Amino acid sequence: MSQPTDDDHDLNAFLAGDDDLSAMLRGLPQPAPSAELDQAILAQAALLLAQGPDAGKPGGAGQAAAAPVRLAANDALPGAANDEIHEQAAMPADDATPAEPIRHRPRWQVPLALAASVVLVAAVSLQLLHLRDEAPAAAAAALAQSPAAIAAAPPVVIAQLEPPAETAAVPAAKAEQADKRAALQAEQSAKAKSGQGGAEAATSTARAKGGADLAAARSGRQQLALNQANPAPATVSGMARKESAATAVEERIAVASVTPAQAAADSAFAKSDQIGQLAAVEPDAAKLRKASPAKPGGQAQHEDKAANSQLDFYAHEPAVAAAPVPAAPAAARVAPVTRAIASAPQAEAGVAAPVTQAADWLAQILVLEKTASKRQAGMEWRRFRKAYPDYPVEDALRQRLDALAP
Amino acid sequence: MPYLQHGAVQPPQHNGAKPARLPGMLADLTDETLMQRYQTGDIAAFGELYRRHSQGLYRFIAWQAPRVDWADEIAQDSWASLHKAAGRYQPQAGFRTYLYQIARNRLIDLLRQHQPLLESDLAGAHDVAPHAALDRLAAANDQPTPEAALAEKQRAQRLQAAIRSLPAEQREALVLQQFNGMSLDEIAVLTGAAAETVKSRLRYAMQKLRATLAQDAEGEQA
Repeated sequence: MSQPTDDDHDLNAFLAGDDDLSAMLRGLPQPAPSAELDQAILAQAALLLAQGPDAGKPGGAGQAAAAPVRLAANDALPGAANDEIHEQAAMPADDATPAEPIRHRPRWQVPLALAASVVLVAAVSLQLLHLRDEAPAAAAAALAQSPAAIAAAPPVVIAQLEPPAETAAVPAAKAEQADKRAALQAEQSAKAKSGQGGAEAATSTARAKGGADLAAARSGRQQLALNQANPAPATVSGMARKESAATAVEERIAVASVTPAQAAADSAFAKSDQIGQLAAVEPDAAKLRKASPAKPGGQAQHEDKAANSQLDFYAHEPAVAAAPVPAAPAAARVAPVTRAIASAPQAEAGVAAPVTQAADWLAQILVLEKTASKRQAGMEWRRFRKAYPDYPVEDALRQRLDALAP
Repeated sequence: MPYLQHGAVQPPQHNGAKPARLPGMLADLTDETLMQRYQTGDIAAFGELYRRHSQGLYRFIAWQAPRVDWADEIAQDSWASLHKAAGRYQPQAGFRTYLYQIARNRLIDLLRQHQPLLESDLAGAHDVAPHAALDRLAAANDQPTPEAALAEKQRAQRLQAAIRSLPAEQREALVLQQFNGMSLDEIAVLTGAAAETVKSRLRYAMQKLRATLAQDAEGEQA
C-alpha cells in the first residue's frame, strides 16, 4: 500500500477547500445571470407551460413549436442518464440571428414525393396509350354495332357472282331487282332525311339517282342483305323506317371505313360495280370459268389445275370473305365483292392473280360487246389473247370474239 | 435570488393542475421531485429549480464560454431545452448533472460551429492548438470585479487569467469542482470521463495555478 505523497495531500486539501488556493478561488467574483435573463427564462417557461391543451405537461405535443428552443446535437454523451432527450442538432451560425428550432423534415417526404410522381406519370402514360388505342377500337365497335346482316352480305353477293351455270340467271335477276329497289329506297330515304341533314341527304340522293353507279350498287347490295336479314315491312311507313335505318347503317359504315384502306376499297368498288354490270352476262362468265378445254398432255393437266384452282378459289371465297378479320374489317364488310376480287389474288399469290385478272378482263370484254361498240370489244379481245394466250375460253365464245376483232 | 427578488413570474393556473405550492414547501423537496412536479406542469417547481441552479449553471457556462455573450444565450437555451426534455426525464438521474449536461453540450456545439471564426480571430497563433487558441481567447475575456482593493483586484485578475489559460478539460473540472461544488463522481458522469481522469485534471490544474501564483509573487518581490 503506497503512502500518500505531498502532492496527494495537497490535492486532497485543494479538493476539500482547505488550502490557500481554494480559498483564493472561492474569493473570486463569479459571473451571475442578469435580472433580465432571469425574467426572460422564467417567462419563457411559463409561456411554454401555458400554451396549448397539453401545455401543462412539459414535453407535450403543443410544446415542440411553442418556443424557439435550440438543443445541442451532442447531448447524447456517455454517462448521461437522459441522453436521448435532445434531437435537434444545429443552430444558426450567426449569433445575431434569433434562436429558432431547426425543423428536420421527415425523411419519408422525398421518397414519397418521388413515388407519387412516378405513379402520376405512369397513370398519364397509360391514359394516353389507352386513348391512342381507342380510335381503332371505336371503329371496330362501330362496325360491330352494324347489323349482322351486313356481315352476312358477302355470301349473298358472292353467290351472285358464283352461281352454277343453270341458275345464274335467277340471282342475276335478283341483283338487278335489288339494285333498282335500292335506288328507290335510297331516294325515299333521302326524302325522309331531307329535313334533317341537307348535305347528307343530297349525297344520298345523288348516289341513289345514279342508277348503276357506285353508290346505288353499294346501297343496293347492303339493302339487299338487310332485307334478307329482316322481313319485308308490311306498311309503307315501316319500310321507310327501315330504309332510314339502312341509310344510317350505310353512312355509319362509310364513316367507320375512313381508313388507310379506303382508297383501295374505293378502287375495288369500281371493279365491283363493273362486275355488277356483268350480271346479265354472268352466265357466260360462269361458263368461261367452268369450261376446261381438253388439252393434250401435261399442259392440259396443268391448265386444268389452274382452272380448278381458280374454281376452288371462288368456291372458298365466301368463307374467306365472311371470316371475321378484326384487323381490317371495315373495307371487307363494306365491299365484300371488292374483297372477293381484290384480296383473293393476294391470298392465293401467284397463279390465282393473273387468272382472276383474266376472268375480269374477259368479263369486261363481254360487257363491251353488249354495251359499247363491238369494235372496241374486239380490240380488247385481241389484247386479252396476247396477254393470256393460254387462258381457256369456250370455243363458241372465242369464235364469236375472234369475229369481233378487226 | 432573481426569481424571489423580482417575482416577475406568477405560476399560471392550468386546468386540472394542482395549486401552486408555497416556495417554502418547495424548498424542502429534492431536485428530482421538483423535476417530476414540473413534468406535471407545476411552474412553481420550475421556479424552485431555477432558484437553486441558475447561478451555478451560469457560472459554469460563463467560465467555459470564450465569449461573454454566449453565456446568456447558452443559459436560456439550456433552460428551454430542459423544459422540452422534461417529459423524458428519469428521476434516477441527478438533476444537476442532467441540467449541466444540456448546457455543456450546447456549449460544445457552439464551439464546434464557431471554431473557424474563433481561430480566425487568433490569426498568427499558428503554434497553438485549437483548444489553446480558444483558451487564449477566453483569457482575453475580462470579467468585471465589482469590489476589491487594487492589490486584491490585480491578484484576482491574474488568477482569473490563469484559470482561463488552463486547458479546457482542466478548467472544466476545476470550475465544476471548485465553483459548483461537484464531486469527482458527478464530474466524471457529466464529462464522460473516469473519476481518476477527473482527479488528474484537477491535479494538473492545481499545479498550474500554483505555479502561476508563485511566479506572480516572485515578480512582485522582484
